[in-house]
Amino acid sequence: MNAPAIEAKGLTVEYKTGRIRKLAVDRLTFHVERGEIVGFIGPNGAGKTSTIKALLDFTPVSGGMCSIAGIPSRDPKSRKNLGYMPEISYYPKYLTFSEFLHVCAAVSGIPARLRPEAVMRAAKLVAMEGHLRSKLAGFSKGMLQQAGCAQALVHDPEILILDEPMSGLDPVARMRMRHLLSELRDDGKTILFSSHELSEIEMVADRILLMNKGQLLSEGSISEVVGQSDNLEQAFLRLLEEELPWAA
Amino acid sequence: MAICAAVTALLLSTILVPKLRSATPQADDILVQALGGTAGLAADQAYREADVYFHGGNAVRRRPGDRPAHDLPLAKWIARMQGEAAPRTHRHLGGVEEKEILPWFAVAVRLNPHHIEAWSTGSYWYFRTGNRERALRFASDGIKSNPGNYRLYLDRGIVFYHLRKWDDSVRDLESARRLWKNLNEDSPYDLRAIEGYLSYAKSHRPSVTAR
Amino acid sequence: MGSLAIARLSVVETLRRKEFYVVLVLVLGLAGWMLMLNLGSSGAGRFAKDIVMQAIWLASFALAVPLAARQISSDVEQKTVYVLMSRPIHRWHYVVGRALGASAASIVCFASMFAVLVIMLLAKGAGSIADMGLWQAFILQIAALVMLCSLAVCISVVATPGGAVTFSLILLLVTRYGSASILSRIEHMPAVARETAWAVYIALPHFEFFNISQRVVHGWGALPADMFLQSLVYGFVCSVFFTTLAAVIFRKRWL
Repeated sequence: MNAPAIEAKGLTVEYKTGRIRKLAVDRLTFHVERGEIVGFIGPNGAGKTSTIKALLDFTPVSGGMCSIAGIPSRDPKSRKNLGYMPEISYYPKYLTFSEFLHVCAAVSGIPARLRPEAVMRAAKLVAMEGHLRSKLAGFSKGMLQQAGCAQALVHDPEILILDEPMSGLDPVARMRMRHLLSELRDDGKTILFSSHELSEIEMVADRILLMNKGQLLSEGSISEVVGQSDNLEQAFLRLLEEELPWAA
Repeated sequence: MAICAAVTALLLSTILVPKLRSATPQADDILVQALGGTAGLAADQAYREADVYFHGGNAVRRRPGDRPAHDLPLAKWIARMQGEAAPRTHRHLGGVEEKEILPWFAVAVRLNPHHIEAWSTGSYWYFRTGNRERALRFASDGIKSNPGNYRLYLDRGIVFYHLRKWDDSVRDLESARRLWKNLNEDSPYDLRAIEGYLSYAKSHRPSVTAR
Repeated sequence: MGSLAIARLSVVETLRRKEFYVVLVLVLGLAGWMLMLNLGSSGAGRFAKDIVMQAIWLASFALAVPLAARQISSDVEQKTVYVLMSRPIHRWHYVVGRALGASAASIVCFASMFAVLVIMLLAKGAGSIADMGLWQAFILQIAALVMLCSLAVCISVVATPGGAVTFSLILLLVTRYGSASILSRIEHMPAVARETAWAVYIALPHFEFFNISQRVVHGWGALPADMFLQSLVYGFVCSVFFTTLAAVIFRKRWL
């Protein structure tokens, strides 16, 4: 009951390509408390996606542990109250938006009689209820992102993991997404989202996790991480500066 | 999609080419060209199928279930299952059922207009199943495709003989005798058949006395 | 519930792709052509029955194998698997769902083409819907399709889709049409090699058990009930084996 919504302790993820072994996540320890929005930032190749994949049991864990709501990630029950929005919005193009959400709801265990309501609610949350009968094949990148957000919300999960949720969205859609995230947090939901849009993170996140080369570089509230810098972007570059001697 | 396109093209080619009934099989038949060198193999297979059909679907070649199985119970069970799936008992078609083998002769000669066995056997079976006019046409088409082969003249001569068309029979049998060559082990028997039928046909012709 | 929802995806995908309709039109064309064809044997229906049945049987295999082979591999390649695997389902739910879906889609395609065959037979007076052998052939072909889809899904977890298609088709054609040749070769092997070859031959999936089309064409009647049931049980056991193997392998796979 008191377990954090998301937790990793000494998490290690190692990739093997032939004889080459690459440490993607190196003894990472962090937690996300219930009801908070945590921004997960870091340069490309920092290990953010690998961490998320380990939380979702997409990749095996070489060491340590990770859990969702106190349930180890390897147990599918850990995903019962979890919604995930992948970075790349590849969805079955031959389905309509409504069919896609129905499938997601069915696989999430929502009874058939409750699915139409769940689908409509999720579509309304992302302001896409007018596109329910449209095929996903005809969606733009931004619309696919919103469809991805809808499928993560269709079963009304308590915990959300969003990988680059703002990617491909126009300014209006971004504002809508920020507003949605805040509303979800106010509803008591827990959100861990990774993004390269530091300004967006600054606007919504309660806490930041900054990662680089598989390790946690910094953790804390926005003000704690920003510190003496003008904004989060400056702080980000400052914290990485030690790793990038050529940065000005 | 590529396979579908290829199959469509093949089917269209067989439909667009004039039907067997009215056309003499030609070397430039689209279907034959499409199949290339495999047309001959396909024709042989079609001819064999006529034999398989005559035996009620029972291939003359050995079937998996015929072979002595391994001692393992599982191997014996496999052999038994294979044997049940395919027809096993030796039987011949009879009566009206004999018609079932005819399409394969038509297919065989369409694929290979020089398949003498198919022309010859097909003509015989058309006649035997009561389709005499078709038997005559079949043999005639065979002769058109293979004018130098004595067998087909012999076959058509025999058909004319049974139709009591003595002049036509004599004409064809004389052609067969003129063209006869010792091609294989059946050839001497064919020559005896030519001589025999020729003699009978001439004896039936009122204006000609047998030699 | 998760597996069934995933299975439904495969059926919807198949019915929305064009290949099935092209094949169905070809089969319709072939059946219509057979109806009109007169090769001097009016009243003889075995030729038409044989040709159309073989075409439908082969077409159903040609549709089923690529369909099954690309189920999991295209999901993983295009990352559409993430949306499904981020839900509270085990990986085996997903594999079973995909195998079931491929099988269901193949059965739908086959049943449509079989309906064409039945109509053709009735129109040509070459068959009766009361023919028990014909319905046994229908059910056994369904069993063969389920087994083949499970095999292709299993191979696709370790190989590329192309490799899965190739290997599945080779196994299908070798066992369905080449058993006699294999057995004659085994007979002539030296003792040790022969025992090994026998073991491999017994372990192969025997698709020839499900091919009673010649019985149907030549009027040999239905299979004995015990043989029919044994074929179905064999198909079921093989399908479960291949699907389980696929699930075990997929459990360790990185997504």
